Amino acid sequence: MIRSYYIITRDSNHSFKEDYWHINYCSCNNIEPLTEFVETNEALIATLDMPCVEKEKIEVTSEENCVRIFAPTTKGFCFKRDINLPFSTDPEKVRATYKKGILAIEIPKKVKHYKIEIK
Amino acid sequence: MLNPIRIFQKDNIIAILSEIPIDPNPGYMLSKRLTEWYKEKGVELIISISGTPFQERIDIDEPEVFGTSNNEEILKKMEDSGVKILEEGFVSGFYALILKNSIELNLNSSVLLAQCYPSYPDPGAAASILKILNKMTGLNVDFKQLIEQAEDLKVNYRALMEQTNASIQRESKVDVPTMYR
Repeated sequence: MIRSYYIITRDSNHSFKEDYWHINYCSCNNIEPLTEFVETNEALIATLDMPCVEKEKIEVTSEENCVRIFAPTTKGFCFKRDINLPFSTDPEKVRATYKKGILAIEIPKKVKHYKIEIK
Repeated sequence: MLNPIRIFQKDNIIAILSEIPIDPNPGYMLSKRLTEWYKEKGVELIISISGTPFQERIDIDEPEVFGTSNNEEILKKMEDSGVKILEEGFVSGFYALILKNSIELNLNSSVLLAQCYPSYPDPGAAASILKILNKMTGLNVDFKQLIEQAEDLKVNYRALMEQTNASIQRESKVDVPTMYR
């Protein structure tokens, strides 16, 4: 069961304001996993927290400007995330590993940095 | 309906739990008032529990626990319990304020920091802290459930972690002194 938080606060006009914290729903029963990005000159490394998931059921699809992740959980909902890339990648060179509930995806950049010789 | 910040007490132990991240602005006043309350209650030792983000956490099976204190005897007790004492560095955030206010009010205070994931809930780190707490205080808290139900806990605390990450980003950037870089 996923928790939701319902907070009631009082603003400066002394009226009550309701804030509802909710999980990012992509669509019915899909949620986005917590994600961290580390960018280097050669690649973008995305790590996604995906507990309660079986490795065999994870789907990672790579396109030139997007990487899509989908995984059903054992809890009745699914993790779903589309990573839109600010650069182009070679889809065949994207690598993914799943360890201890964390999915790590290495997305190499197609355009690398070149050192320009000054004449 | 539950208050997101709750105080529990049993025998001579008081535990304060927060299910929401504490923003820096109210955190300053809250830490001051909390420390004053500890003084009123005649608290002997304050133990603040937190984590220290570690990028390679995925490669660690059993996270280490680091710590510091404002009292030499407490430092020795922490070291005997398996805590790696921070030789140099700095602590920031809410627990640093508790430590600072404790020094001003002449209260014994300590901070325990477990290696943890930077942005994900980490029941493994919590279990490491509880092991240390059991040794330091003579408590017998059972942390096996934390490890067995780690996956379920990560799902349940996902929303809190999301809000915590947002709160960390709202904090003003700390300019790290050069000597600690």
